[in-house]
Amino acid sequence: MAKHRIFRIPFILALITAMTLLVAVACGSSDEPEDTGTTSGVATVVPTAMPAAKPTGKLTIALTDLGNETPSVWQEFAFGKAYMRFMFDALTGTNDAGDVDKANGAAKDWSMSADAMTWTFNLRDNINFHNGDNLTAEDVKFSVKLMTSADSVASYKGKVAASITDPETQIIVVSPYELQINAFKPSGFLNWDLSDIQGVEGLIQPKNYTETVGNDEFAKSPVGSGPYKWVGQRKGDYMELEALDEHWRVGVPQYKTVLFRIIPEESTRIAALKAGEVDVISVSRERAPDLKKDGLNIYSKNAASVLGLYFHESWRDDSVWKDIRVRKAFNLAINREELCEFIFAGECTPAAVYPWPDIAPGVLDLPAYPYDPEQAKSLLAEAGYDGTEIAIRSYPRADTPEGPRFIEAVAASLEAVGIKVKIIPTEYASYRKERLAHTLDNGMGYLAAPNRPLAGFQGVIRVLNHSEGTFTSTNDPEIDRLIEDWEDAILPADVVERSERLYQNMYDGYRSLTCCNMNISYATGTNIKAWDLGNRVWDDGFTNLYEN
Amino acid sequence: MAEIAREQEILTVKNRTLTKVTTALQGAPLIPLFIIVVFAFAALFADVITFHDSTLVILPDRLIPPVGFDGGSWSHPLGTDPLGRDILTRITYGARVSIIISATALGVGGGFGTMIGLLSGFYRGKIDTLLMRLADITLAFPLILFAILLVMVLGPSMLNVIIAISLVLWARYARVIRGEVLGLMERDFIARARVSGASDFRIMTRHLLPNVMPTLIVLLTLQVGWVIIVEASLSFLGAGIPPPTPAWGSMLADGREYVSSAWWVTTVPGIAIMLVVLAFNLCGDWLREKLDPKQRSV
Repeated sequence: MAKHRIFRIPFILALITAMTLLVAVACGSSDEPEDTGTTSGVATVVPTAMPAAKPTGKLTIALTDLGNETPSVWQEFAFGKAYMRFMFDALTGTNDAGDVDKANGAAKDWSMSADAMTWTFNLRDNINFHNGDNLTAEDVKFSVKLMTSADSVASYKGKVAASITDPETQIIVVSPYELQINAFKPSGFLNWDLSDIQGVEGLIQPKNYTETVGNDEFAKSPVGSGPYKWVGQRKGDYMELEALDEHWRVGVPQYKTVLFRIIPEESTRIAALKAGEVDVISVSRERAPDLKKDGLNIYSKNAASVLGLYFHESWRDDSVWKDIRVRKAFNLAINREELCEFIFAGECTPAAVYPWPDIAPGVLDLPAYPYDPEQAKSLLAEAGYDGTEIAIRSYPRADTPEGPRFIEAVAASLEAVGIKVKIIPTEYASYRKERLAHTLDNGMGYLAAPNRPLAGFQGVIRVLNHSEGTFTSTNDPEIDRLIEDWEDAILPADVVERSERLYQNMYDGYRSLTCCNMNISYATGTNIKAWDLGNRVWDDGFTNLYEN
Repeated sequence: MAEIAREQEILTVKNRTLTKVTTALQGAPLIPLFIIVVFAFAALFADVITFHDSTLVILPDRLIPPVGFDGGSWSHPLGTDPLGRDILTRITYGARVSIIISATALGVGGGFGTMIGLLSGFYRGKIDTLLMRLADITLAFPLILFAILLVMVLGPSMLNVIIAISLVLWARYARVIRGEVLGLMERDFIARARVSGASDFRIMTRHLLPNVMPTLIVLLTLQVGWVIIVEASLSFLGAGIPPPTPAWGSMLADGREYVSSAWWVTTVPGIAIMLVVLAFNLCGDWLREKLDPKQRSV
């Protein structure tokens, strides 16, 4: 019996081997070179289709903050664009050079009437939201309505709202893929305003889904049409996104998972990068050279943003800044050269007007105000400055990790000429709320406004300086007139010329405490071989990290 | 002759005083006491003994190392911080901030806690239950978190740091003093005071308070270090003393980013905090042994 069993084993093995060979031959037949039927009769080898590439791996980006951390086009402001552009498409696409680009947005084509009063956008018909709904003109209209609504926190909505005062009647859905906008006033840059070059204003969210689930639920489970879809978040900590297998604009995203982490403390971010826990961090200009020495990669954008402090509510009667002599004294009290050299490690240059348009040639000739503490003291005495305390908000920001140190240095300079200063440590989000509420009497705060194309500056100037601007620190009919005049310009030469007039007025009026034109730096692990930070505003080309 | 007698009398009195002081200081931790004296002296005379302005920013002088290290100089013996401010000067002024906060917070929190403890232990019953549950609730909160929350709500300032610490501090005093009072209430001298018609207020202030004083002193001494740590923690976390006022905690925080390149920015305030807290704790332990006979016998 036992003998029989022993004989059975080789038999079973032989049977298994034979079957395996048979299966291998059967399956392998499809990989054989095929006869293509050429007349020569010679078999030609046709390369077989490679298995479709799929997103793999994980990318972790650590920043000091992620805006409002509320992924909805009307509940997020400009800083949130870092993650929002992963999830949403814009009506008007843009490219890394900082131009509008018909290849990259939901609109494949657009046109403007000669008087800049009517815009027509033709949409692609092959864009789907992550829930399967097709992106149509109704979604665009719905998103613009949300973004321009009174409760919206979108940073540059003021510029759009000035052109589209009533979205319901002014935005006409001609067909599912054609949209006409009848502007309230000449709007030569409406396509820019509805792009993703600046904030989240141009991003599109689905109408049906939002109306079905409601705004609150949408913010918890957002749906967009971008290359990445929502996975989840823990506010103040992280946000996780997952790649689509293929996206109409991007193709196959490189990373399956993108994780945004909020790490306000720079040394913690650096430690996390060195430990390999994160791949990309924002880094101060001062620390960047050390990290480079340590073998990490540093990617920078020169003259990326203009750093300045606002004279909040300067038009009010009890504001110390109502008097131009006091505004001038503040500007003369600051040693910009020293700030650039010692706070920002020489990675910036003194600047004169806030914010600074890179492409307005005449304005670029304006020199930074000189450092003259003695004249500052005289001006303060002349203006009868009574020792009113100036409260400066201090907070770190992704683009300015040196923020608190910078504020202390500025405060010390102001105190040196006799200005009474109080520093209030806070977070940017809290300061932003105060700005929106206009409760910052005799208060200051800083912001590094990214440099952008001139069209973009129209938006930011309206927000910051028009009396109707949500964040305005001025309320001057002359400035309003100059802004409106600039916005009404259609011809490029007029646009530049009028912008110069406005900037000259603001320069002569010492309207803000502009300090420097800064480079911006990020550090990455060695796995990030190349990275173009691009010329879009606020997101610094994070989306370039996932493009294969 | 009379003069010689008077001189001898004076000498005797001096000797007696010296003997008393010597006896009192017998076994005292001299080094910790010396550190505390230096700390108090620095705090009181900061503006006399320093040569620099504690808030004066001189950017070209930033991150100068301490004397003895390459680039260091006697003009900044302990070096400078990232804004070019003299660290020794800021440490000295920081001592003033620490002492003001400790003294005030301990005075307010300790005083209030002692009062609650006296009332609770004296009256017992519902008052005792109510006050002690309140104390338990306060003690149940994570201390630093509670203080941060308060400072965040009220805004960072020295006054608000004092309020936050005092609000946390009182419960410990109330608990300990109540325990002491409960024990004292069983003693004959309290019964005699009652029989002789002493009012509640008189019993509490004239009979109970002096008897809980040794415990109170020990507790106060031990808690100075704790308050300094809490204040430093709050400042380190950005919820304490707002800049540019020098505080040891915020000085530590200022140097976090420079640990590898400019170690002195964090090391110097770190050592200052460690030395002072250790000194107060050692002195507190010594006082406890000195004032509490039970501890001494142990």
